[in-house]
Amino acid sequence: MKTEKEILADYLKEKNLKRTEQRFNILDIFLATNGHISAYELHALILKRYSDIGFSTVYRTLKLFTECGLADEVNFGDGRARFEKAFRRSNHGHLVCSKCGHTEEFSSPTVENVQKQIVNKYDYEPQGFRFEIYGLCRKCRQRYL
Amino acid sequence: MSNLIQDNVQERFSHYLQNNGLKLTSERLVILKESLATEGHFEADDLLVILKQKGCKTSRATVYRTLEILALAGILRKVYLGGSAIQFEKAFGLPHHDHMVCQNCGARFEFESPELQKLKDELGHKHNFAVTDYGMQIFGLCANCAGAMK
Repeated sequence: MKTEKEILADYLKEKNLKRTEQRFNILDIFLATNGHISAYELHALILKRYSDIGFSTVYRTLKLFTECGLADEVNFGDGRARFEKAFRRSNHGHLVCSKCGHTEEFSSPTVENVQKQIVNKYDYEPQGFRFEIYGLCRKCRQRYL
Repeated sequence: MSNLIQDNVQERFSHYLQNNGLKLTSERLVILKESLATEGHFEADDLLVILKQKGCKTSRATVYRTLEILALAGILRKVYLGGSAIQFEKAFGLPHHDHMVCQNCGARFEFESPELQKLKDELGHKHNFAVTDYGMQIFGLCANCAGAMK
């Protein structure tokens, strides 16, 4: 099985992009994160070790990661894109609190089955899905209602 | 859209604004009316263009904020279809549906699934969330594009 670094290296080669050290430094830091991280948050972490990497490089590199399947972009309704590791992880959905932004993950055979039914019906080749449930978490309900 | 539904939507909007300490301004009302007149999915910038064409001087920030409010009020729904911008669609009084998008040509299908309706209630209960909305998007390649790539 290929490592994350090999996947990135192969993808850069395929797209005729340069194998810069910065891209691999960003990958190292990204792989050490957990959960969902925005480009801003990742940039802040990267600056601690590599003070010469700019925000737009981080943002563009995260986009590259999503293109080659190392990251998934997730949107939780607040207008800020977040990224999570995608490689060697099972497909899962998110519950998102609209008030405080708290998220929980779930995996469900029902969602996988629905995906299978729908792609078969419309003759699609599936690549992945997103499933988000929005609402208020327990804490926010107690606080605001 | 029939007048009756339009009146109901407007009532819901003014209630939502009132409950949240916001005012029913003429700009917000115009944005409501124009979003209800759209078909299918639109981006905030699409709506801004339509408003500008009609001589409305609303700013981009007002359009963005009002669309957010309309989504929170359940009149519109935000959908992520894989592009860079969030799309909106009408939601009030319409049955829930989800989307499947071709990652190559952007073709979209809408589907309805009672299983997902049930699942979001079950998961809301299990994780102690008061569910307000949900959405599933399936990404893949349509038969044409998958065929062309082989």
